[in-house]
Amino acid sequence: MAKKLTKFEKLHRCLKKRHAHVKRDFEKKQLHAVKWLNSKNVQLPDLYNSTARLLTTGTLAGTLLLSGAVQAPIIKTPINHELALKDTLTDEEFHKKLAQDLNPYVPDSIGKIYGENQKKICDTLEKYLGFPVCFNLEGNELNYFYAWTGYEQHLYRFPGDNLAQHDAEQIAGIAPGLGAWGYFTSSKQAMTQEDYLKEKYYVAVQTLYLPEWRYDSQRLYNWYKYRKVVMINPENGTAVVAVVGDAGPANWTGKQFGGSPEVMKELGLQDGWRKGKVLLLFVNDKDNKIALGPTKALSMERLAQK
Amino acid sequence: MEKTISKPKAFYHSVIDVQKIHSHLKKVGLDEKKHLQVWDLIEETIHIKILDTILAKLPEKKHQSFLEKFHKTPHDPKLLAELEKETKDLKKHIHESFVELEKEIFEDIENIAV
Repeated sequence: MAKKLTKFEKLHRCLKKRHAHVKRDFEKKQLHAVKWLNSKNVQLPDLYNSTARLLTTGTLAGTLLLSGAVQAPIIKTPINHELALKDTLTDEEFHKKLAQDLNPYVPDSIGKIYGENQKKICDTLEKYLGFPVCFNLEGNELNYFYAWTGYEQHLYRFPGDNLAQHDAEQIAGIAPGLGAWGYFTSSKQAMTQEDYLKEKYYVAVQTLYLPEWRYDSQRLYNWYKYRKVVMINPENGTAVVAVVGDAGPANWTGKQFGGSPEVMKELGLQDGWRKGKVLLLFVNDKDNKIALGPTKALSMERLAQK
Repeated sequence: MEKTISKPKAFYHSVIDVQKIHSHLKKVGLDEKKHLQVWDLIEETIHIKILDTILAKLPEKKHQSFLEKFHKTPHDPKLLAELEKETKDLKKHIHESFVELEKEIFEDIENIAV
């Protein structure tokens, strides 16, 4: 028997449809504006869009940051915008397809993933996300590739920061101590868009339990600091590009990774037990071009090229 | 507990009033987290709709400079004044399209009770 939808699910579904409709309308009618936004690597300026991606390093006051000046450095591949717009999958379709394609290679139990399955997962993700990902980067790999992630709290970004200054998911609270790498920046005035996004989209990984930690901790500490990763919920095909912003969780928690409130929300893991099994891969992004935040649907045309 | 609207305002918020939608949504009785999740979606939808309205009325050659300014300072009240110089009755158009969308959102909210 089909599950009865809750009030929230019904309303969310209904409003999501309306949102998609309004967005499609905009893209259809404002082709010139969309083209210009694309040419500047700026997405439809969704002031409140949780998918807002910023990667510039200019210093901005906190209020301006929170006002949502969105810049989206997309991978710079020449695309035909008309075609891309016409044939773009909705986010829902994109996630569904990604989940379907990943599913055969994701193990039942947590741990590392080897051989053909590892290769297939990386290939599938590269195809959908449009950037290179791997479980082993420069000789470094985590103890788990597929594991439980838990819902973390916000982190202090600068001295004097508090929960009220975080613009989303305040319900998560703020961790009493600093993250493993301290403040993200020295002051509110010095906070860049990049710092802001690092806290918004951070994950915690168990660096302390790495076998080489006992003799190589300084190098590992530096290597993992704000290392760019992508966390994927294979159940629903959602993925978020994030940085390693904290160490943990402790083994006794039964979880191996942690996700910031925004990461967990994007992965659909913010409700119930607030945990879920996810894949975590390094993003090979030497030039720092891959934007932090949830990944967006590629056009059919771009998917077909891959 | 009062569910707050804590998001920053864009320049067009002086023309529209989202409180009615907010009050309507409160009546659904969602918990705070779900309420905010739905509210995010509503705000995004309003935002796109208003941008669409503005761009539809603004001469195309002015689109780029508007988008650049908006991208930099979305909250700047001067934006509205500048737009009004270029577009007759812009406030009225923004208000009308907001009201149209507001009605649709009310319907969405009411439909879930069916």
